[in-house]
Amino acid sequence: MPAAPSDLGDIGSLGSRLPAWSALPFLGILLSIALFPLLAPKVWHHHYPKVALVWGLLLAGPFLWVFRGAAAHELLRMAIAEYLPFVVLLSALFTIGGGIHLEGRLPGRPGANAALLALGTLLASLLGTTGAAMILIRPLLAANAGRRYRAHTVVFFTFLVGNIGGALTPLGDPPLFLGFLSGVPFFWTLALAPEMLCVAGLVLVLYFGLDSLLFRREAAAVRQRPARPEPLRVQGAHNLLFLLGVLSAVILSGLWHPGEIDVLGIQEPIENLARDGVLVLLLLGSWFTTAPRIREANGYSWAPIREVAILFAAIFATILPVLAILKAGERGALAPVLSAVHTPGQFFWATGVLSSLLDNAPTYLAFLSTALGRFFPGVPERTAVLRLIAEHPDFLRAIATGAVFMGANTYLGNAPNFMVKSIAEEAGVEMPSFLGYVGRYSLPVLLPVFLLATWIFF
Amino acid sequence: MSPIHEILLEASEGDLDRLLAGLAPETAGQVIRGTELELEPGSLSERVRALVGARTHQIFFAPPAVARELEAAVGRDPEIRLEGIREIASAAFDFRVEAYSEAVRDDIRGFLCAALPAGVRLTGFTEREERDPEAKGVELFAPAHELTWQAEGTVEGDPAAVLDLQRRAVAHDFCHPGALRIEGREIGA
Repeated sequence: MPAAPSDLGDIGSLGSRLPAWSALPFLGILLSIALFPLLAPKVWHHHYPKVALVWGLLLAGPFLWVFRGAAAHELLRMAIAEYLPFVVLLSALFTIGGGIHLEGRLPGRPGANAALLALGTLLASLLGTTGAAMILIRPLLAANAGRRYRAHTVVFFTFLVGNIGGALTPLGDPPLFLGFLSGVPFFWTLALAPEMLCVAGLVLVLYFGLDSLLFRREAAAVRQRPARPEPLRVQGAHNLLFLLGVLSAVILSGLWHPGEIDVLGIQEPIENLARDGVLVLLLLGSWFTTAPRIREANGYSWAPIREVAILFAAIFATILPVLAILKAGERGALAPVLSAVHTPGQFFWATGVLSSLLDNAPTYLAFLSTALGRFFPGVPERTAVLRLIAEHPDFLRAIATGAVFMGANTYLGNAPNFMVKSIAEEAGVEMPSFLGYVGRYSLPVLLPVFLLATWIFF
Repeated sequence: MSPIHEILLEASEGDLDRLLAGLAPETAGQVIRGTELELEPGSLSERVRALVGARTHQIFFAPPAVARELEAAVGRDPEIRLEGIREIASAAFDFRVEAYSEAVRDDIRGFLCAALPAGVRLTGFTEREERDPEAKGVELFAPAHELTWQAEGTVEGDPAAVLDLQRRAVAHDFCHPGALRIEGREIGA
């Protein structure tokens, strides 16, 4: 069987030789992404490319110096097989999603708010959590303009649309697309429906209860506003066709296998290159056929794509030794990590807690590698992933749901969280601080729900 | 100056609801509840008792005519006891505000800084505005606001107008009013 593009190839055996400190640049870039926006947001806003470059070079320099050709090959493989598809997919989803705008005004009552959150939860798996959040956050804010109690609605929107809702397809949340690139079949994520519906349902019910309570405390003028002031209209609806194109291209790339071609010395499946090419065409199609005013209404810019491209270049580079060590299993320097997590429940919480504090996409990859290293050390990645699904599916379910769901625990866990906070603040909603978000919402709402999910599913 | 009275009752919040429900809507609309303002915090035991709905103290403010009507209504309600009435002579509060968009800034600046009611003064006012054109639009990992406006100052003067301003400030996100400072003389109970 030819080596799959995600296999560690020549440096695979190095997983047992790499020291634990080679994971430090990876930790460094993740902590930078987590802490700089909180501690020095302006410095980070203007200088994050330099910070990413420093962490990337700290890994790439010594790595290339010591392992030379094998390291260069592996960095190139990571760039072609993982990084570029990741950036292309997110860019396509973001650009196409940014071309869809909801105009009109919902009543801002508990029932309408809950319905919008439910709709967003379902859309998140098709549009991506970022795209769904970008489309729906402004109508939600407009609906609730004039209400005194609004921050809780934005926080629950972040929970559901920005995170939990993205669990059902690899388009929904970046960790799941990374899983898809690593060999998880496209439709496997639909198997997460029971967990997603249970968690999202509980959170939605809690939201409805809280919003109903707070709605009763609103001024009479707010409570007596007409129930349907202005019907919703979709602008840029043709972008739904482009979205369908994205869905089809990604699904087809998992079903059609015409062979491989050599790209700069990397054997890359033709279907992946075709998929990425189609996604770029769909992105361009959306860009050139959508009126600029629609994107302006969504606050669309290239900045998020630039952020993803720069920061994930550093993440994908620095994660290489971590994945290699974890896949080496008990023979790797991170063997204590493997011995610390045994059960699906432990994987759910370990992936989740780290996803709360660090970005959930690389966290997912790290714990997927941990599970592969535990059960199938030395087995090529795609083969190992399929065996994991066949023999220990609960572990992959736990890792996937832990990464997706618990990205909601803090502002740091998933990319849309900060975006939603920022848009809400510019619309005049005072959002809770980092600790306020965790203390007033995540701990009382999400923690019990996740404990219950652990009891039921893991 | 628009006179306003402070009325202190021994009652629960539910009692107060019942009392105000008995008034004509336009009369009840002139009443400002203590819970709508930023008052000096009460004792811990009072807060706990209020939370569990126990009988405790309620403060509200109303123009003299409305206050007299309420006083009469209190006299007819055996569940509520009048503790005192003060005629407010002066009122003031400090505030700190911020905004991240021009619309929100203009809204706050309009009602709290620029278009003040007659008899109200703004003192010690300072404001600071920063613009970062690179921060326009949505961002995922490096969020920053294109506009950051911060201001602080003190509002003082006509008590009724100051109370109304504080009520609006308390209800407005990004307005952080300090505790209301009021002075007055006892006129009843």
